[in-house]
Amino acid sequence: MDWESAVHVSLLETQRRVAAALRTGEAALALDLFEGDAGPRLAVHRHTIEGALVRALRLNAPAVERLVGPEFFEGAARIFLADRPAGKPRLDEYGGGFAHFLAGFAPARELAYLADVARLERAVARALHAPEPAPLDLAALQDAALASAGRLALLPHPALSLLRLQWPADAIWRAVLEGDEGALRALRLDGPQPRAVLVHRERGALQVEPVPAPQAAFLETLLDGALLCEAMAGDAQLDTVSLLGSHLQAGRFTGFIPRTQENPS
Amino acid sequence: MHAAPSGRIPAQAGIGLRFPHHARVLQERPPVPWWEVHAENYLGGGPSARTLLAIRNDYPVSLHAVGLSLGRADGIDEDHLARLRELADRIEPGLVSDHLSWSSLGGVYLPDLLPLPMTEEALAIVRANVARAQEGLGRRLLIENPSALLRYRHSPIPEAQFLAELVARTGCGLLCDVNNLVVSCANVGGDPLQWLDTVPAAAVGEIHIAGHAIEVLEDGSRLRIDDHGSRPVGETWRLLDAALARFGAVPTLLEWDTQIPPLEVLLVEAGRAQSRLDGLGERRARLAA
Repeated sequence: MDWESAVHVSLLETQRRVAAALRTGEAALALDLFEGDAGPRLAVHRHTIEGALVRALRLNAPAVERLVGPEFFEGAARIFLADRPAGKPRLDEYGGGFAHFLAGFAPARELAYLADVARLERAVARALHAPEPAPLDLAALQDAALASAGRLALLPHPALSLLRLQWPADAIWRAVLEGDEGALRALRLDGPQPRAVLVHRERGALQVEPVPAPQAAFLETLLDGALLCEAMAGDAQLDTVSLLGSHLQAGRFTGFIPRTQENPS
Repeated sequence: MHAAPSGRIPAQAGIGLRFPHHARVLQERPPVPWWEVHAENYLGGGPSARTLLAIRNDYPVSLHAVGLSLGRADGIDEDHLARLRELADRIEPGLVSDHLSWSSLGGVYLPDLLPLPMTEEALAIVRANVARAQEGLGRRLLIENPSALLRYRHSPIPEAQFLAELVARTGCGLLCDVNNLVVSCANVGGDPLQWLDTVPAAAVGEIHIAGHAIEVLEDGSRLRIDDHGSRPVGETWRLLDAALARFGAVPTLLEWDTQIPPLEVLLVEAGRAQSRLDGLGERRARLAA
C-alpha cells in the first residue's frame, strides 16, 4: 500500500468531518485534511454560517428582536442554532422550534409573553413564504358536498395558521413593529389572557386577527379534518354557513377530500 | 400589463437584485438589461414571488442557486431540485447557475459555499450531481468557480482542468466569477490568467464581478474574504478585461450582497462593466478593419 492510498479519505468522510468541525467549532476534527494552518480559515467559514443563520432568525422574528434588543437576541440565537442547524437550503423557513426554545430560555423568563410573540412570528413567516396552490373550485365543492351529504374534509391553504396563545402576542407584535409605545404601554400584561389568533395571506396581503372563542373552535374543527357535515352542525349558536362562506371567500381552504365509510380519516 | 420579454439574457451588464431594491425596481423600472436573483429567496408563493413575477414581466431574469450543493457526496436533494424546477417553470429564466461547492450533507444545511478537494472521486460525484440537476431542471446549468480560503492536502487536479472535464462530461456551461479568481489565487495560490486559458472558452455563459474584503488573521497573514460588500477592485476589473478578451462578449453581472448601497451606485458600477463590453466590440472592429 503506498502512502497516497494510505491517507486517502473518501469525499463523504471528508464532508462529514468538515461539517462536524464547522458545527462544533472543533477545528481539530478536520485540520489534517488541509494544508497549512487551516484553523483560522475554517473559523471564517464557521462565522459565515452562524452569521447567515442568525440573520435568518432575525428576519423571521423582528418583534422578538426588538423586545429583547439585538445583543440579547444574537446571544440567544447562537445558543439555539448550535442545537438546531438548518435542514434545508431555505433560510426563510429556518427557526422551527425557536419559540419552544425561548419558552425554556432562563434569561428571558421575565418576558413571559416572548415565546408567544415568537410563535406568532413563525406563523407570519409561514404565511409570507408558503406556496400558492390553485384556488378552490367552489362549484366542485358544492357538487361534492351535495352528493356526499357533507361527508368530506376541507384542505387548508398552507399559509393559514390558527394559534392558541396565552398572551395578546398579536397586539404586542403590532405595537412593537409599528413603534407604537402608547399602544404597548396600554396593554395589560400582568397575567395570561388566552386567545386564538388567525394568521393568513389573502390576495398577497398578510392577515393577523384575533378570533372569538366559538368561531375559533369551528375553524379548528375544520383544520383538524372533521367531516364538513359534522363541523357545520357542531355549534347550534353559531351561524356556521356564513362563517364557512367567509373562510372560503378569503381563500383559507384550497381543496377537499371525500370521506366515505371505506376511507375514514 | 407589459408583454414578457424573451427570457434570453443579453451580452450586457446586469445587476444582482436584492430585497432592498425591489420596491424601486417595480416603481421606476430602471434601464437595466437584465437581473439575477438568488433562486432560494423566491421558492414560496408570497409577496417576494409576486414581485419576481412582476419584474420578469419587464426584464430577462437569471436564476442563481446557492442550495443545490452539487459537490455533496450523498446525492442531490430531490425535494429542493423539484422546488427549483417549479420556480424555473414559472419564471422562465434565461440562465440557471449554481456553484462548484457543497453546503448540505445528511439532513443539515450549512449556509456557505464549502470547498471540494479536486480529486477523481469528487469529479465523478459532481458530474453525477450536475447531470441529475440538469435533468431535473430540464435546463442546462452554468457552474461557478468557487472562492477558496482553504487548500486540501490531497487535491491533485487543477481547478480549471476539473471544470473543463465537467463541461466535457455533462454538457454544462461555466459561470466565470473573476472576483472569485482574484480571491482564490491570493488565498491559496494559482495563476488567474492560466485559469482563463485552461477553461473551455465556448462554455462560458456568464461572468460575475463583485467586491471583496481583506481580513488580517492572528498570525498576521492576509486573507481575502468574498463578501460582495464593496466596489470591485482594480485587479478584478483588469481580470474582467482579460476574461472578455478570451471569452468574447458574455452576460456580465455585478453582485453586491452585504452593506447594499443605493441603486445608483450599482448602476454606476454596472455601467463600468458595460463600457468594457462596449469597448470589446470596438477593439474587435478596429482589429478587423
